[in-house]
Amino acid sequence: MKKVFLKGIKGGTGTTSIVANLACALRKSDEDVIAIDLDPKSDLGLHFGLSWEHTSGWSNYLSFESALDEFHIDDDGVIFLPFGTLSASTQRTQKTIESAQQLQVNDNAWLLFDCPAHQDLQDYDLSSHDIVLEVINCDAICHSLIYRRLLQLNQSSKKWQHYFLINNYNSASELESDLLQIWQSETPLLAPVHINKDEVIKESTAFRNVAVNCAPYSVAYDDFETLASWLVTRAADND
Amino acid sequence: MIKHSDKKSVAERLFALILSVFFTKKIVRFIFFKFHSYFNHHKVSAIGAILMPFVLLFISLFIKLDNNNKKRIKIKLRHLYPHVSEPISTPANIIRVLLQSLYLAIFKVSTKHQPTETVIKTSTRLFSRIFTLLAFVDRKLTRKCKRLWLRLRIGSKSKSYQRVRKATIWNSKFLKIALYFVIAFAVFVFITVPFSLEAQAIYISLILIVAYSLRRVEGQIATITMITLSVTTSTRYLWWRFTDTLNWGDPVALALGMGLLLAETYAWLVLILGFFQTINPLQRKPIPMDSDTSKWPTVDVYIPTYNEPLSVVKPTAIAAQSIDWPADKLNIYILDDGKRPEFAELAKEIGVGYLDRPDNSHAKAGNMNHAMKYTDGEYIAIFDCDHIPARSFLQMTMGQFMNDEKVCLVQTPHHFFSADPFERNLDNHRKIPNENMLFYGLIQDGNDMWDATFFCGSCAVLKRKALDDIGGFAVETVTEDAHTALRMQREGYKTAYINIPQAAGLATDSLSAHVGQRIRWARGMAQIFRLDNPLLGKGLSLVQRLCYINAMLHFLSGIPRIVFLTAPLALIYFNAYIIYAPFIAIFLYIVPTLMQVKITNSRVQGKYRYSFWGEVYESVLAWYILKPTTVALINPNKGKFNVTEKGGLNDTARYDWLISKPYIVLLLINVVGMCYAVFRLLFGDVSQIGVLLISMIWVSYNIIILGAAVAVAAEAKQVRSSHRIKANFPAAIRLENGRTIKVKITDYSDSGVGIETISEHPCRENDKVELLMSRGKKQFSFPTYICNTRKNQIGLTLRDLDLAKQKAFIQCTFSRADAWIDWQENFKHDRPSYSFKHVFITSLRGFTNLIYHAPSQFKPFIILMANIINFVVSLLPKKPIKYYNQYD
Repeated sequence: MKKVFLKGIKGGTGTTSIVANLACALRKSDEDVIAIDLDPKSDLGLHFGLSWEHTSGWSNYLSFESALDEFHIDDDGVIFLPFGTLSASTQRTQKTIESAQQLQVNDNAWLLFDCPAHQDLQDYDLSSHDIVLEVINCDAICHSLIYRRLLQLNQSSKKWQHYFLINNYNSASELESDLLQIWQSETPLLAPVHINKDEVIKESTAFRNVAVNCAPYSVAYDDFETLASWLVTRAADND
Repeated sequence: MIKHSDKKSVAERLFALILSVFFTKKIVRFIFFKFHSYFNHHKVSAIGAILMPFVLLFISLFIKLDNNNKKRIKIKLRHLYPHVSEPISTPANIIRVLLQSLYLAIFKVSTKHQPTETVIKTSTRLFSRIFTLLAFVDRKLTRKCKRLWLRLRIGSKSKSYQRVRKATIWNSKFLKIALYFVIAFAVFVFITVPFSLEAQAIYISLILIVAYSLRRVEGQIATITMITLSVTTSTRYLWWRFTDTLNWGDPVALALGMGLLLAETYAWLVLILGFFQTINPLQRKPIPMDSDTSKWPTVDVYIPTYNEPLSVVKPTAIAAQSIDWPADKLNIYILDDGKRPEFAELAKEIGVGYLDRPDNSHAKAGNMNHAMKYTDGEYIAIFDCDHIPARSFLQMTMGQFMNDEKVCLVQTPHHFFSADPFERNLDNHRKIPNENMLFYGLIQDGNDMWDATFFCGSCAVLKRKALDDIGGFAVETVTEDAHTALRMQREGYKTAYINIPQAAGLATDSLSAHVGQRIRWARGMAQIFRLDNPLLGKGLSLVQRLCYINAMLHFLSGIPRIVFLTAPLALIYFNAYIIYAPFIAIFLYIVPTLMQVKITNSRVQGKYRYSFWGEVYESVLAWYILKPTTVALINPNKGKFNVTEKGGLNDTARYDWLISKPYIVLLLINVVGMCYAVFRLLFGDVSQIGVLLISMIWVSYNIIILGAAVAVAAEAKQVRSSHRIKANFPAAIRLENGRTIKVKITDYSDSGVGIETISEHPCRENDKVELLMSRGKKQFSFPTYICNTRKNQIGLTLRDLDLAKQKAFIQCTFSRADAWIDWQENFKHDRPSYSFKHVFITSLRGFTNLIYHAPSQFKPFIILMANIINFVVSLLPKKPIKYYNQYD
């Protein structure tokens, strides 16, 4: 099973929308995808079209096995698990991650975890095959935060594959295009794919759907498709 | 009636008296009644009015002329004689009636309606059956020949044959020389042995059969076979002309005949050298650079300019900055001979160097020599100010220098993104290969095989050390580029040609500018021929000399072309037998040789030049390069450098009478000659009909070629001020509401872009749209406005881009490495018959242009001529109107 952890470097960078669209893009390439919400905001389900009244998730149950009923499947075939209403400790989250790997699915399936921005990933027990995509926006704050994170990663004994993924990139903005140029030439661990700012990502949620389904002729579609294929090659290199 | 008779005059009464001898009173009254009716009422002439009643009486003897009959007869007559209108008895109408009656009598034409399909179908069915049968036979035959040919080739791989080939006995020099002698002797004998007419006929048929069988066979060996056959046939032809066809008896014919013979010798020489030059194009592949960029040399880019507008030079300078090369090793300089302050400002703004000099001596060469004093790059790349380089230019070319120290020049093709005068005025753009495609696509590649590539003034890189060795750019001639390359090759350096276009520029704007440019090249080449003759002097190998000579000979085609265009008139006007041979001999020698040569040329030049267009190009230039080349051959130092204008705009469609005067004069001479020939054919000596016919065929061919040349002078209207370039690469747009759409760029210019969407789009005119284009990993966004939309296509204009955005735009469009890569791929292989048809249609277009654009003094004359022609045509018999018989 291939595990991908997505978290924002700070709040509000658009991580959950990336998880939803990426899941759909992978599904379009006939991959088996399971998306699990580890963020107490519990909004991953909303991206997949789950009604707001449906609030329970894995955190409402004591063990993972009893939470199997909370798995949903959307029209494309993506299996997702909402967080729920109760809070969960780090150990419980860690247990959930481990139990997810025991699920009776295809060995080649993808497990996408939507992690909260405030979570320190060192608390989780990640292996060297795990990919972490830290979602950033193109602004000066994220620039500083990237370097903070890089320092942190150097000092820690991290084992996982860490990448910074740019979201909401607006090429018309001078600041953003300059920053992107700098990051592309100087910043290590930058993902070669970035997601452009596209209104359809917002608009598709109004349709209770994802941009990949709603706007096949948009740049967002291309970007998520490229992200998906890049991840596939990353994972293939791991094996 | 009684009242009427009271007013009769004396003449009438006398006439009535005479008539009453023959006819009854009633009939006499009838005659007078009809006469008055016709004369006064219908305004028919007196004679007609007198005759008509008698005609009616005559007819009434046979047919009962009551009302019903009259009506039916009238209707039928109207159908049978549709072009005759009231009044009937004008002279013109009488002629019409007579001719139509003859026509109806001779050709049985029915007035009943026949469904048109059957008539057409029966005739065309027969033709189409014959055609399909011929095509079937043709396919089977060529396939059989192809198989036979392949079997021969496979046979050549057999062991015994290989053993003979590889035998070391061939290494003996003595044997080689002996073999060459034997072959040369055999060739000489073969060429000079005179054939009787029957033998010639058989020989020619064999040659043509071989040519036919090799039609579908591809491959180098078949081409070489065809070339060999052409060489032998044309050499034999020339020998025959020299020995057998000069009329020593008649001094006029002798003089004219010698003139024609010299022209034909020139054509033969150019043909042979051309075959030799292009027999094996090298198609050199670019060599990649070393991955260690610290070893890369420094390059200066020169952009010489004189009087071109800023808008033309700016994209070139910006694109030059974007060439893929370490920035510290790349220096760009605008060399401004016009010393314009706005150019200095532009250079400062963009961040490139600017050089000017106190004087303007020696034009471009002097400019560059001056610049060499102030720059020190190891290599110099030169771009004309309108040639926008692609980013991969240096990557493609510098590898040759790194690989071989002796290389001093790498040249790339000159490609045009705008239409040259031929393409624009004849509407040929991208439909047939243009004039310089032959040179850059085939000839330079062939030159490269023999290490005889020469510098063409732009889109090339030169080694500075080589230039220093020869003392800088050559300034003695007006084509300093070819002369510089010649000098460098004499010093022992090598040159290279990469047949991948890395830049594109503007073609000449108008026919006069085009001719002016060619005059300069022709003069320069003639100057080089006199001042630094490649046949003499040291430093060149034999093949290099021949290649240079061929390039120069090409520009001496003025006189031979004029000779060819006027030669048949010698027979028609002066009755001078310039080819002193019986009609059959001429037919057997000339026609097959021409056909064979045309077929071989078509095969060799296939994608680069279509048949018969070469003659058109030559005819357009012939008169103009005549004088400069002759003057330059005699006195090479006369004549000045006139710069080619670039970047102008034609705002009206007009006809360039000044430029086309020579062609019109030649055309007139030929047309008058044709009429005179027809006259002689009908009324002259019967024995000369054969040669007259041949001359007439030649004259009509000349008329077609000249007509096409005349057509070029009609300048078409240029609508856009910036030229559009076709493209095909992906991009995206972001609308004002934030949505994005993936698009395809279909064309671009320096101020606008044309895009195509996959599905329908919600955009409307004047919407603001962000255009997202990428270059490599960088993505750029450009603010644009929609200027027009159609179902799937949108036109965008860029407005008010700042310098950084302009740079980015050029990087994303003009500078792309694959921008010009399909410059040749659209053209299908040449098909001579289609090409001839195309030239013919162009020629007709030329004639209509002449008439359409005629100056106002001629207009009444033309209208008169048109009216006369209309009138004469109206006299001719017409098909009776068909009508539906309601009883069928």
